[in-house]
Amino acid sequence: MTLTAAAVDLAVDLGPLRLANPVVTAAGTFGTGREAAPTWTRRASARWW
Amino acid sequence: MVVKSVTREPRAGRPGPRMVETPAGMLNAIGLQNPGVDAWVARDLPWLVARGVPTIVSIAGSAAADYGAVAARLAGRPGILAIEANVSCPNVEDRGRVFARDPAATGAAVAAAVAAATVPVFVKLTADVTDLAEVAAAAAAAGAAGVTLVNTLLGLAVDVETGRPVLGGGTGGLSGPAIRPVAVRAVAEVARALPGLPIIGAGGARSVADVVEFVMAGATAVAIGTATFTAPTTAADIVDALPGWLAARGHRRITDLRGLALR
Ligand SMILES: Cc1cc2nc3c(=O)[nH]c(=O)nc-3n(C[C@H](O)[C@H](O)[C@H](O)COP(=O)(O)O)c2cc1C
Repeated sequence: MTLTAAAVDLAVDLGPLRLANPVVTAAGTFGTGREAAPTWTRRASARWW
Repeated sequence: MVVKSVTREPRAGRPGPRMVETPAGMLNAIGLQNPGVDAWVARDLPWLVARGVPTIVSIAGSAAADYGAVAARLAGRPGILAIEANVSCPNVEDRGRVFARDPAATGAAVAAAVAAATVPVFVKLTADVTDLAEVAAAAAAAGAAGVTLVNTLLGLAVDVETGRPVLGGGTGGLSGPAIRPVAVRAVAEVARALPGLPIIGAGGARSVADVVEFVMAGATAVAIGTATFTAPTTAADIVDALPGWLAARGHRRITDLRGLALR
């Protein structure tokens, strides 16, 4: 049986933190968050932020 | 997300120009511009909390005690997942030498933050050092929950028509794809020396393959920075594409790939 994308587990334990996936934004390149909001709120934000 | 570094007092940042494009990357000299921790807590944090954004707060300072003072202002506040102590800044108590260049100065700043913090403290290091593993070990010994590797590399661009530095602040931090091999090497170096220490990789990542490369070198998470300036949704696009990429190669869990290149 082939593996489907839906079956893949992206969760990681970053020491004491459990993250839903391994991708974060780098300090200083996303401002405080508000600056990037126009591109973000309509998109995946609710899911991965 | 990791927010822009906040400091004890507001900072205006450095004079312009603050950014210049370089081959496969860019130099920036923002100079830690931020409203100061009190204004940040009053204005920006509630915005993030209202949207349920898992927030890692980057903090910076010019003396070890500053890290403790900023961490204390953040203590107990809801919505903060962790602190990232940016120790790649000049230490006024050490003739302006960057904290992260010295294991003892790094340890002092981290210890101050850890003592005041109510959340895990990660430490952001620079690869501009002789022995990165030694600095990472000092951070871990001072109580760091993990390290972020790497901050920008110090660079200089000169305008050959005027003979003056291109950036208003003189030197700047190099980021983008140009530094990715250096960042991946830094991750591998620390992962090998300190196998139990969680690592957030950073430096030029802009694709699924780049993220996987950092993970295979030993990173647990990967930060997306400069790629955001050309394609603002890069981080989300990678999250969307990762499962398909892994499934196509028969990988059920991203964690199974961590440190593969070190074996
Ligand atoms: C414009 C700009 C501002 C940055 N500001 C910060 C900052 O405030 N604090 C920090 O720790 N790192 C800061 N960084 C460094 C990034 O978080 C990251 O470590 C570095 O740029 C390498 O990743 P990248 O090539 O994906 O951008 C900044 C980088 C850029 C390009």
